[in-house]
Amino acid sequence: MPRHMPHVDVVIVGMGWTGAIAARELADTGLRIVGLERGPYRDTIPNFAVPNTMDELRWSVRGEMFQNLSRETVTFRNHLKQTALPMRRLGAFLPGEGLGGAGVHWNGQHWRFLPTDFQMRSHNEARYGKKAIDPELTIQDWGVTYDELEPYYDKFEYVCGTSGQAGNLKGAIREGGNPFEGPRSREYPCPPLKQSYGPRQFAETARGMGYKPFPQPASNMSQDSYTNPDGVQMGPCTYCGFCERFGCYNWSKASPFNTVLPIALKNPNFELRCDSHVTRVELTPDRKSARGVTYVDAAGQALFQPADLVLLCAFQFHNVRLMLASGIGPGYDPRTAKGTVGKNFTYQTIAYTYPFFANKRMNGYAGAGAMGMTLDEFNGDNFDHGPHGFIGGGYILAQTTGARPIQQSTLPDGSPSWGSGWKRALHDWYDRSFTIQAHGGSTAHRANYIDLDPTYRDAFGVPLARITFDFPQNDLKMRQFLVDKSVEIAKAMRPDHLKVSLPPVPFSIVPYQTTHIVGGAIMGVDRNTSAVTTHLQSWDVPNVFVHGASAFPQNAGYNPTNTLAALSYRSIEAIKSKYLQNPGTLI
Amino acid sequence: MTRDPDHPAGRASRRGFLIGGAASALALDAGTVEAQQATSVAPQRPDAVVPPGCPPQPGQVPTRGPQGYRFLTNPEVETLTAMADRLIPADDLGPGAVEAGVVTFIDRELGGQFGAAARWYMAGPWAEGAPSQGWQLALTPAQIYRIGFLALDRWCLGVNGKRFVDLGPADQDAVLTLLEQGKIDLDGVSSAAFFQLVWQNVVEGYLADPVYDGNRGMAGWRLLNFPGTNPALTEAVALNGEVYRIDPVSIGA
Ligand SMILES: Cc1cc2nc3c(=O)[nH]c(=O)nc-3n(C[C@H](O)[C@H](O)[C@H](O)COP(=O)(O)OP(=O)(O)OC[C@H]3O[C@@H](n4cnc5c(N)ncnc54)[C@H](O)[C@@H]3O)c2cc1C
Ligand code: SF4
Repeated sequence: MPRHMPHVDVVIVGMGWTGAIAARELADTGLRIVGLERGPYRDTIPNFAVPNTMDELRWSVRGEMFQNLSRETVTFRNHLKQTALPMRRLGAFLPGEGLGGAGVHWNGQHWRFLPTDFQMRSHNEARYGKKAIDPELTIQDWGVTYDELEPYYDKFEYVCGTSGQAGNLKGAIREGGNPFEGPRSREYPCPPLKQSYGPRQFAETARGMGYKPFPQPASNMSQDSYTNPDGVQMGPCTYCGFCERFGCYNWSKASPFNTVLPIALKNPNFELRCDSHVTRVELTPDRKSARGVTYVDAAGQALFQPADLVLLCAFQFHNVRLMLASGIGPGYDPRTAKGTVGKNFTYQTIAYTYPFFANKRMNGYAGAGAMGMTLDEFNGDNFDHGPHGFIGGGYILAQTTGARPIQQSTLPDGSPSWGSGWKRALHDWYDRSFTIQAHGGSTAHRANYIDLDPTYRDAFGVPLARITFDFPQNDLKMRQFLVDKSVEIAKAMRPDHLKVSLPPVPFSIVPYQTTHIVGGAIMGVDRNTSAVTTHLQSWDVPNVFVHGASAFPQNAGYNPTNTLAALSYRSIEAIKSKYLQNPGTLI
Repeated sequence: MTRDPDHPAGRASRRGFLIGGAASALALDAGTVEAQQATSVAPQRPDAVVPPGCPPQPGQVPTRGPQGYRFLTNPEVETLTAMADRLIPADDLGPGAVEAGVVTFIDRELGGQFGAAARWYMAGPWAEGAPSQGWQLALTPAQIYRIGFLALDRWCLGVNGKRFVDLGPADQDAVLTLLEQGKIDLDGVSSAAFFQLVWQNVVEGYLADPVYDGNRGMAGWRLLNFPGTNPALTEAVALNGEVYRIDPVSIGA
C-alpha cells in the first residue's frame, strides 16, 4: 500500500511548459496545488551557466537533459504486422525530463497555426471535395477556431517576449510579415531577431522569385531586455549557437524559468515535488472519477496523492500512456477504428536542403534556435492543391541555429567518410552551408496510433507506450512537393554544391527529425471520435484534463508549442470560470 | 586556461609540470603508447611539448591532461591508436586524432556512463528488428569495444599473420573499409556497427570540448575556426560571408 499524502485540490503531472502554465494560471484561485515532476529540480543558475551549458557532447550528443531511456522509453513499429521493439537510444525525437520539461531545450520557434488548419477536414472537403481525401486518412476538425484561440496565442507570445513582424494586423496585410497568417490583435511584443548571412541571402533570392519571405517568429529575445506582463524579465539573445538541445544561460530563450514558473513558485499554495514519477491515475471503481495519482519518489517509495482535479501535463505520449495504463477512456483499435485514446498519432514531415558556398563563411555558430527566414506560400491550404493530389503543406525555412562541430558539420555528398579526405572536406566545407528546412504537417492515418506494449515495461513495471507509425502517402507527396520548391530556390542561389537529405521511408526511429509528436488524446466535439473536449477535459473521467500536443487531431505545418500553450490557457480559463463551480461535470 | 594551482601563470613552471606529468605517467604504466612516446620524444625535443593554449603539431606529443588509461588494455590502446591515426591522420592541415588526445577521450568515455549504456533502454527480450527500429544490440559500448578489438586482432592475424597495429597504413585502411562495410565477423557483432561506434567516438574526441581530454589545444576547433564557448557572438551575425576571427575558448583548455 502506498503511503497517503495529505489531500490537495489539484495535482499537476509533469512540470514542463503546460504544467508550469497551469500552475501559474491557477495561482490566484487559492486552490492547494501539487506539481509532480519526474526529473530533477533545476534553474538557469546554476544549471545552465556558461561555459558548461555550451558543451555539445554532454547535452546534445549524450543528451543529459533528455529523457533517460534506461527507466522509460517507447516501443515502435511501422505497421501492425511488425513486432514493436524498444527505442533503446534516443533518435527521432528528444523528450525532456526535469523541471521545465522540453521547454528548456526547445528552439523557441513560436508559430500560430493557420485558421484553416483547425478545420482540416471540413475545409478541405469543401474546397476539393470528399474524394480528394484518401479514405484512410482520419483527419478531423479541432472543434475550436483560430478566432477563439487568438487571445491565448497573443497572451503566450507576450508572456514569452516573442519577436517577429506581424503580417496580418486585424485583417490588414502588412509588408515584411507573413501575409498568410490569421489576423493578430496586436504586433509582436518584440521586433524580429537579427538574421545571419545564409538566411538573408535566401530571403533575397526568394523575394526575387516573387515569394514573400519573413523572419520566423522567435522566442529568443531580440531586445536588450524585456519585462513580461507578470513582471518577469528576459535578457538579450547573444546568438550563442547553443540553443536547441541546451538550456539558455542568459534568460533569453523563453522557457518556464523566465516566464511562468517564477509566479507559480511564489504562490504559497503551490508545492513543487521533483524526482516524483507518476505511475497511475487512480480512479473510482466505476472509472468515472479520479481519486488522485500514485507516484514514486526519489527514494523509490510509492506514494498516493489524493486530489479532486488531475491535470496530465506529462508530454504527448506520456499523457496517452498514463490514460491507457489507468483506464481513462476507451483505447483505440485500428482494426475497427473504434475507441479514442491513442488515436491519430501524427508527427511532422521534414526534409532538408543544404546549399554550399565554397568561398563564403556562414558564421553559423552565431545562431539562435529560432533565427531564420521563412516562406509560407506552401503551408496548409495557402495554395491550390487541385493539381497536386495531396492536402496540407509546410513552411520552408532558411535557418542558422548554430554550427556545433560534432553534429552540425554538414559535408557535401560524396565527401570521404573518414581519413585524410574527410578531414580535408571538413576543413573546406564546415560552415560553408546553411539549412533550408521543409517543415511539413502530418495527416492522421487510421493505422497510426499508440497503445500499450504487450511485452516491454518501464522501471516501475508499467507497460511502455507502443507507437505504430509510418508516413501516409499523402504526406510523402507533400514532402516531395516542398523539397522541389526548396531545391528551386536553393539552385537560384547558385551554390557550389547542393545536398538534399530526406529522412528514411518507412519512418525510422533513428535519425532526429523533430520532437513534434502529437495526437493520441485528441480533442473534439464528439465523444465517439475524440478523447477530450475542446477544453481538454476527458469525456470519460471529467475531473481529468489532458494538456499538450496529445490533443491535436493531426499536425499542421508548424511547430506546436504556441498552439498547445494557447489550448492550455483556454482550458485553465474554463476550469476557473466554469468547472470549479460544478466540479466533476463536463464543462 | 591553466588549471595548475601551484603555478597559475608561469610558463616555465608550467612546462616543468607538464614534463613531470609525463614522467610520472611512465612510472605508473610503462606499457601505454602515450607514455612511451613521451619518453622517446619529450626529453630529446623539449619543444615537442605543447605550450598551453596552442594546438599540437604533427609529431608533437600531447602531454597535458591526465595520463594513463582507466578502461582500455594495452593491446586495445595500441589498436585504437593505430585506428584513430588512420581515421583522422595528422597532415598538413594539422594534428590528427591521436595528437588531439582522442585515445584518452575514448578511454574515459568507455569507463564512464557512456561505456555502460547508462541512459539506454537495456531490458530484453532482444530481437534484431527492422532497420527502422534502430539499435537493438544487447551489448554496452564498453563491451562492443572489448569484443570488437579482440575479434579484429584475431581476424587480422588469421588473414594477414599480423595484428591490426602491425599492418602498413594501406592495409589498415583496407581493413577499416571492410569493417565499415560490415564485411568482417566480429564474434557476432556487426563490424559496421562496431566501426560506426569507433568512428563516432573518434569524431567526438576530436571535436568535443577539451574538458573531456580530447581536442587538445582545441586542435579540432582551430581546424574549423569554431569559436568554442564564446557566448557573445552578436557581431558575427552581421558579416557577409567573411570569416569571423576570434580566438576559441573552452571549458577545459
Ligand atoms: C530539441 C527540441 C526542440 C524543440 N523546438 C521547438 C520549437 O522551436 N517550437 C515549438 O513550438 N516546439 C518545439 N519543441 C517542442 C516543445 O518543447 C514542446 O512542444 C513543449 O515542451 C511541450 O510542452 P509539454 O508541457 O507538453 O511537455 P514538456 O515541456 O516536455 O513537459 C512535460 C514534463 O512532464 C514530465 N513527465 C513526464 N512523464 C511524467 C510522469 N510520469 N510523472 C511526472 N512527470 C512526468 C517530464 O519530465 C517533463 O518535464 C522542441 C522540442 C525539442 C525536444
Ligand atoms: S542563442 Fe540566444 S536564446 Fe538561444 S541559448 Fe543562446 S543566448 Fe539563449
